[in-house]
Amino acid sequence: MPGSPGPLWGGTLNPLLLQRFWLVVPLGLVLLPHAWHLPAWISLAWLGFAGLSLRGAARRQPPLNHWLKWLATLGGVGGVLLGYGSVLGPGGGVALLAFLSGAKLLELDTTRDRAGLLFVTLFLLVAHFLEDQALFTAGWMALAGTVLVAAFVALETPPGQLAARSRPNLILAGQLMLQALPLALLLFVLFPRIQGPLWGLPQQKTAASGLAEQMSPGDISRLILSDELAFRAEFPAAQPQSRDLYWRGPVLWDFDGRGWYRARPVEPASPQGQGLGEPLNYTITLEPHHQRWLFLLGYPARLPDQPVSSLGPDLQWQARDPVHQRLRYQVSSHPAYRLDPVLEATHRTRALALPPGGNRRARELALDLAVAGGGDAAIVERALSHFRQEKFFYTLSPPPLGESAVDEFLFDTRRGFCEHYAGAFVFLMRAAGVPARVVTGYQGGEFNPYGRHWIVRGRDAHAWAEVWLPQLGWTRVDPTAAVAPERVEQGVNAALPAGERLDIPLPVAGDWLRALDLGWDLVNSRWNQWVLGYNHDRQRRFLASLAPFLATLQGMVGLLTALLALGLLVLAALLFQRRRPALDPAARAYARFCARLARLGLPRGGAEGPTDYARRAAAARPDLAEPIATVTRLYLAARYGAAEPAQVEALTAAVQRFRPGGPPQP
Amino acid sequence: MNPTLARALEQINRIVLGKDRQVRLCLACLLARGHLLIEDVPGVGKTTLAHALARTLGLEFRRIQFTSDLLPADILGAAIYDRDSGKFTFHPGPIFAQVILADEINRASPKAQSALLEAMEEGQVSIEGETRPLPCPFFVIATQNPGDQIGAFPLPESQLDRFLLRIRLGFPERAAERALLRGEDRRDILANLAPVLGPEDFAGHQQAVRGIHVSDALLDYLQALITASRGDARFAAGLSPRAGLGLLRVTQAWAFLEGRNFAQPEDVQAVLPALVAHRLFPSAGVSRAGEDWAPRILLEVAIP
Repeated sequence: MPGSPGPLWGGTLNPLLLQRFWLVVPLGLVLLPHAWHLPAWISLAWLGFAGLSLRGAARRQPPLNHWLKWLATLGGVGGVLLGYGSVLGPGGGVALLAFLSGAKLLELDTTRDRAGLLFVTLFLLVAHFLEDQALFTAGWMALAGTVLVAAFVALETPPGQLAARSRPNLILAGQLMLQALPLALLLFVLFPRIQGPLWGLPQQKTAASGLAEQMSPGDISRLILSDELAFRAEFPAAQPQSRDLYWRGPVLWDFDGRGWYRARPVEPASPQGQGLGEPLNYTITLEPHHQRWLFLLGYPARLPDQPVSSLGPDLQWQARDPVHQRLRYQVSSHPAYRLDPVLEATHRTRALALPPGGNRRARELALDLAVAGGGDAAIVERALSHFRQEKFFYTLSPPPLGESAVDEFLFDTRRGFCEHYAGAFVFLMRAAGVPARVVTGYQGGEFNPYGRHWIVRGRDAHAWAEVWLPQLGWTRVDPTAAVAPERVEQGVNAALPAGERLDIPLPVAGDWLRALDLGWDLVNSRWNQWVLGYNHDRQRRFLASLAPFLATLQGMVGLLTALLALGLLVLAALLFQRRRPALDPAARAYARFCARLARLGLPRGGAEGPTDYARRAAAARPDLAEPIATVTRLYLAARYGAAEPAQVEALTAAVQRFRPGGPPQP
Repeated sequence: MNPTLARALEQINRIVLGKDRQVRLCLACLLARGHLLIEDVPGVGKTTLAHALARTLGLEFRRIQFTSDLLPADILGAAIYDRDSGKFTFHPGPIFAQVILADEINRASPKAQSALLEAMEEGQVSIEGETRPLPCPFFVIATQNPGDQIGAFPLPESQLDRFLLRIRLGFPERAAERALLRGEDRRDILANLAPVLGPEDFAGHQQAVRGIHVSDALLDYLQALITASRGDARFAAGLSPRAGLGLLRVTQAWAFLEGRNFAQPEDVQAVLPALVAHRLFPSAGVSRAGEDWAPRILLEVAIP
């Protein structure tokens, strides 16, 4: 925040400066989160403007020269045009507004200027949700919004009273926000979520994150360093063991001598196989990763209708469109299954293909494994014991590998990460004549005991191998587990050597910091699920469960209008009741008399005394002068004199008789 | 209206021409046992009005010209050593009179001002450890020049509050001014002025003012006005309870002058501007012309 409270509270209080503070501070609070997305020069320019503005107020300087204002405006427009290519849209538009809101701080001479600036601030506040809708953002916005409302109140407060009114204004703003809460809830539930580009938030193109369609040494270890959330999973029934959670992602078939990738689609289009045993039900809330992968455990028993997706023969599951929004889907799948009992010839060819030449020593090792005989399963077992017996290390910082990456890893460095082990293992299998492929995805996750869900993060990314064995079909083999069994039992951190541990706490029971972390995760999860996840479909379903007619646009708008009208009526009734205390009989009679005169076009002013009113009415209607005088005299005596019941009766009777009709007589 | 009071009014109006409303307010103020402040530029007849009031009401009258070197003893009096008797004898100051005209009160130092204002509040003065009562009735009619003139010590708000009403005379209208120019010298008229009523009469009228009926409905209106002044952000502070009491008394006095035995909203509205003129100040940042619109704002309050 620019400026310090020093000159404000110490010494003499400058009301103008305080008034300026009430504009700079709310604007600063609103803009602060924007600063992450905006170019640095805009933030710096804003700080400069704010400083100048406060200095000007502190020294009571005259307003700025018009030319300087023009220069600042043109400079800002030019800069945004250069940086964004446009001054419209969520990027350039917000940047320009942020800049100009700063420039406007130099021109706050009239109430109109100040009010205009506050309304722009209100718009900037809402513009945050174009970037980010997380719970933290919403909380910040609520705070900044409250201060902004207080600024609107301050706009109506005389500057001299601002020092004393600052706290009451803030409290009032808080009350106003709380009073607005029921309305906000009503609108949230009932306001129609209209689908379409005009109504939806614009899709910001963001870099894809998470797993990629290819895997070279180093790819996954980079992913491991990210704390970013991949998805959350809930198992309504029994919780599975961490070591059984192999979340399937991209399946990589092809090797180019260095990295694994997927050169072309795998035919035919659907998997051949069957699930074994009881299926497992679970719900996944997938964070947007801007790619098409969907994650799955084992062999699916039932896949959801939404999103529209396709399942490959290798159980690679993909959505039709990239996942740009948080996605929640329910899956039922078998952890145990048999896939491809008979291997298609094209699949076999592809699962055995290796580039010609290269990695000579690895091929020799594979040949040794193969000649020992005993079938494919025995070859797999021998390869795994090779990894177990030789001195392999599980590390995040393996030495760089050269041209023959597999050879160097297997025989020279022997230090690597899951992608090294999986890649080398599949290479060995293919060289030994066993069909094999690399599967990437996530393994394990962190169990949140408060929300009873699993948190799967970037650091849980994993790669493993699948080999095809007669009768059994495709079978999962995890060479990493052979080297570092802790990886699949307790997660990646436990498997790493002490010096390389990631900066996250180990799962220790009773650690309050961790409890806090998991609690926050739960709140976020619920926020995503109940607030952000309340989309068009969910709204329709929820309202239909209340009453079927509500699930239509007309129903929602109708109910919303009806409830708002009802609320306004109740409010009006409450206010009206407070406004009008019970009238005594004399006042009631006089009110009737006034109403009758008002019908003749002579309404009484609120602050008009009875005698003044009588004089004016009599002047306008000389024909009625006498009854008007009588009623007024009786009323004054009854209401302001030492009232006697007889006088009130006389007044009532006189008003009863007073029935003027028709146009004024000549 | 009481015939003697009507005659008194008529007599004063013959001297101060064309200021019927102000004269009536002065009378109401004195009937309500309040002190009066007249603020205006020099030469519009402030002193003449005060003089005429005292003469007509048959009250003993003294004038104190306030200057920057006026001392409290100049107002209150002092004990002076008498060589013949060998004792200190008290020589009462000009304050021991029924009507004091404190002329140009804002030219004196705050010390002298507060000596007078203390007497106004207590109805007695303490000199040399002895408390001496002031005559009854005791009125102060103070005049002052507008505060922004050179060489003035503006009265603080707390002391302004002790004056019940503050009025302005303003320049006379064209016809009144012509009559003034044509007419006799005011000083000659004043010198020949006969009192219309005696001190006992006046005390009786003051008692009668206390008896004017005030209904709950009128009190509702009074309170609505006071509340409005307190809640209005345009004023630095609202009306004090003392101001509210004063409003009630002077409303009664106005109703008495109107010849009624009960007060009604128009009475309140008639006296309100003079009552709030020196009590409601615009809060900082609001235009300095506050004293002009302050009464109008209070008149926006609806009569319940």
